[in-house]
Amino acid sequence: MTPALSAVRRHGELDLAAKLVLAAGALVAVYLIAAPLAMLLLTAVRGPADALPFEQGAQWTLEHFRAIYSDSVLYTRIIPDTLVFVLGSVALCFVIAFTLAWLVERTDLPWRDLWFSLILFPLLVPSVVLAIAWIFLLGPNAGWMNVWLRSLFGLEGTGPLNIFSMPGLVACQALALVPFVFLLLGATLRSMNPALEEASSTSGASPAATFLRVTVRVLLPGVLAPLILALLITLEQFDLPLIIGLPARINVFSYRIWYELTPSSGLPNYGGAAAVGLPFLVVAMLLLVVYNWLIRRAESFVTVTGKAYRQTRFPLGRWRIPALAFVVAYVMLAAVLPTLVLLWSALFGYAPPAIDSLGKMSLAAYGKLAGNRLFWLGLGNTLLVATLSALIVTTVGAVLAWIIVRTRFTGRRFLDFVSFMSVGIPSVITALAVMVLYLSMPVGIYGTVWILVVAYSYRLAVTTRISRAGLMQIHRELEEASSTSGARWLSTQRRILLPLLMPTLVSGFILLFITGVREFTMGLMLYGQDNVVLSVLLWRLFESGEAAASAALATIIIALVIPIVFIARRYLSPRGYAD
Amino acid sequence: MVRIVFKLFAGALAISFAAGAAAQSWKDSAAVRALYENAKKERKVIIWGPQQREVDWIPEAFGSMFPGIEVQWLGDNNIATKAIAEARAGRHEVDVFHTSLGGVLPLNQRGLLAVNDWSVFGTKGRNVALDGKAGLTSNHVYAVVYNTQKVKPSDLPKLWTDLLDPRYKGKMVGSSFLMPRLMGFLGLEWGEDKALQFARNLVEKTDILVTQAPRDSFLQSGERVYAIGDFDSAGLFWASRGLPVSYVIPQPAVAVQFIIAVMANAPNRNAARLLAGWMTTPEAKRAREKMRFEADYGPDSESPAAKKLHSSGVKFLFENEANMAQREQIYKKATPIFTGQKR
Repeated sequence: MTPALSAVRRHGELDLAAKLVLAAGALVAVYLIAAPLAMLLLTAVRGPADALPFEQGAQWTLEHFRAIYSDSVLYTRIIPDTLVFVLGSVALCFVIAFTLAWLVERTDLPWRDLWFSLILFPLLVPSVVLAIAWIFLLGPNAGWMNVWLRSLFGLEGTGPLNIFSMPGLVACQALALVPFVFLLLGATLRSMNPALEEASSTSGASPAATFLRVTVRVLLPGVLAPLILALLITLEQFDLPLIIGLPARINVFSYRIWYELTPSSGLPNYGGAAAVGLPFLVVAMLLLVVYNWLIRRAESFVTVTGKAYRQTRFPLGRWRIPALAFVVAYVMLAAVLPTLVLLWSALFGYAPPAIDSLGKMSLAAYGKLAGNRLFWLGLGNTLLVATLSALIVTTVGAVLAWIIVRTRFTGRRFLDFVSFMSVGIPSVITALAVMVLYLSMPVGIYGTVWILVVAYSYRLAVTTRISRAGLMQIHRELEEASSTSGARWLSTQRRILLPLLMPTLVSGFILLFITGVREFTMGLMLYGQDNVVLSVLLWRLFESGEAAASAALATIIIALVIPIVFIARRYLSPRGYAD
Repeated sequence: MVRIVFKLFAGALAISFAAGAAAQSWKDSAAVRALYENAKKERKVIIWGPQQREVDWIPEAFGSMFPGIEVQWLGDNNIATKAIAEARAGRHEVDVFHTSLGGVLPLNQRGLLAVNDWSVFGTKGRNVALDGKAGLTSNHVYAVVYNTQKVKPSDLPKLWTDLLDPRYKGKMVGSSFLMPRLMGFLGLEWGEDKALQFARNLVEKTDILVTQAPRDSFLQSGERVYAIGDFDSAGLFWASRGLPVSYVIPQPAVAVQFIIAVMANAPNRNAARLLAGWMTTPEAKRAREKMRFEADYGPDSESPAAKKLHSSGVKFLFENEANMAQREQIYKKATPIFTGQKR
């Protein structure tokens, strides 16, 4: 071990600047995640129901647990509905996402760059927007697709598709989740050595046989980890269950938390919401443990290697047209049709989609938005919150990753766990915890844009993982060389490590920025006079009957994030293929 | 004939002068002028209401009469929760609170409302509630809003109970927020058991779509053609935006009472009192009806819509201080029926 390396590895030998930076990063990480969680725990065992944990008159109690867990609706409706919703959505999502990822990453599908960007589209749009557009398309009585299907097959009555049903909710959630899983699976498929597939093909196996017997089996460990992650993400989903699930009387965990916080009268049941949320967290933690185990197992799987190999693409042959049809169908349903619905509503208001309506086109909704003080406030807030939270999380995540990878600091496993725990915390729980925390603390950020920055900044898991992977690819020798040349720790990080790590950090920043722009749940729960964000304003406009204005705002949000797709494309897309 | 026309004209002129004089009398009173001068020094006032539509018209209308005071607003169904939570945390942001009589009850119980002198605005008697802490502004009448292109006049309900008829099955949509509250009113008239059974029948037998999303999009697409329990003003508002809808008021006719109140810890106390007082005046009510179709249906209302309804013999059940607690008890029980939750 070189002297520099030992200096880095032994916590005690870091210079003062290093200690300050690392300590600050660790403290911020713990504060962002552990503090709200501790407050959540306290809220669950303090009563009465509508009291804040430290409010005068609040006492220790288990009443919230008794009230919530003795309610039969939990066992007859909420748990079964949640299980069907989560498992169904993730299963369907995986079928779609895996097929798309395989077609884009491993085959000679035409226009792959274009499809890559379009498949990411739902990732950029608030789920509220997608839900509203899908209701227009798939409503059982008058949904555009149902009307078309009925006329095509001469059917009568309603349907055949019904968005307001469990299958409808599952399908919508699956479509919304596809881009995320597509990104994860795409990365796995990209790094896969194609030698086994080529051997199968040259042995005369059909494409389907090669896919099922070779590709799927080889990738299984790398697929299971994203599967767990997708389960966690779906478990926390709130927007689609609220808009599509409620009319179908589908009750999932996240909606129940919302229900406790928005009673029909009186004050929110903070204690009840926390009591619902805690076991939810336990399940998420268990899934995380499984995830970590799978990740370690996947890393040791020998057929997926980092060795140099020439990536070749699988020829689709006569399957090219069906493959294209599959990709186009997804893109139409998840990106093109929702955009068209929104554009139509923005430009034509309530006018039906018909040639006769074309004369009614108007930009009035955009004009109205431009004159709305809240629009400009929301735009500024959205950009500020998304940018700052992404910046905080990227920075803290990078510092944590450095501590975890480069030091032998005793608490590094705890930091790793804390940061990774954030992926298992639903945003509705984070919002509740942050709300209770800052109502109880005399720091005065409740109701301001800063509470959103803090709340949005809890998503440390993504950036810590990304930075960790990036750091592991940069050999320590570079830092050691700088250190032995006399450079101080901070200079080494700034001049050597940061430039090398920058692409990784930028990709993490972009993902977090996008997540921040489309975030709805936390914005809605922490909404106040001065901290409205665009996704919440969109919902408020929609709720107030301003259909054209809300659609216009949705198109603006899309226009705002489209350039991000192209930037993201640069950092997230496959490179170095031999086509 | 000419003499009769002249007398009518003179009479109308005298009435309009009298109305104008009454209007001027409150605005030109020394108390209001002093309040305005002090309010201008505060420069702004913050009002919270249950929806954007309830409050976003105010800056223009109030500003035309009292320039120099910026009105900021927030429209959110959970304003009571926010106001109470913020007050507990020692944060006082909102000046004026605008919601239903029942909706303001939690704030009143916690001593968060201030007594206001409504009389300087000419508001008194029946139009003041909660021991001087609230002024009455307008009413929302529960109605059935329908798509005029897809519903025949003969298919319109005359009674709320008509909605259980099989011809409405699969055609109705209702708000998860408003439907329980409608049941609260019907429970006052019918008794709690009958109202809750009616709610269960609606949910189980009519395939009504209960949603948090606004109902206009369902009426627009034709996904559902009757919006049950939406307000008369919502129907008029959507129609003004080009949606082919109208509304009927099934019997018994029930109306929510909207009020305005000044917060006890209002940061802009004078501007708050001025805005709240102004909201109860005939000028503000006219502006509101013109811009948002929300009328005062009280017995002494000057609203043409109210006069028309009263003259048609419709008997209203109004929300008031005597019945709002009982109504709340009923709608609390009706909420889980519509949301599928149970507490």
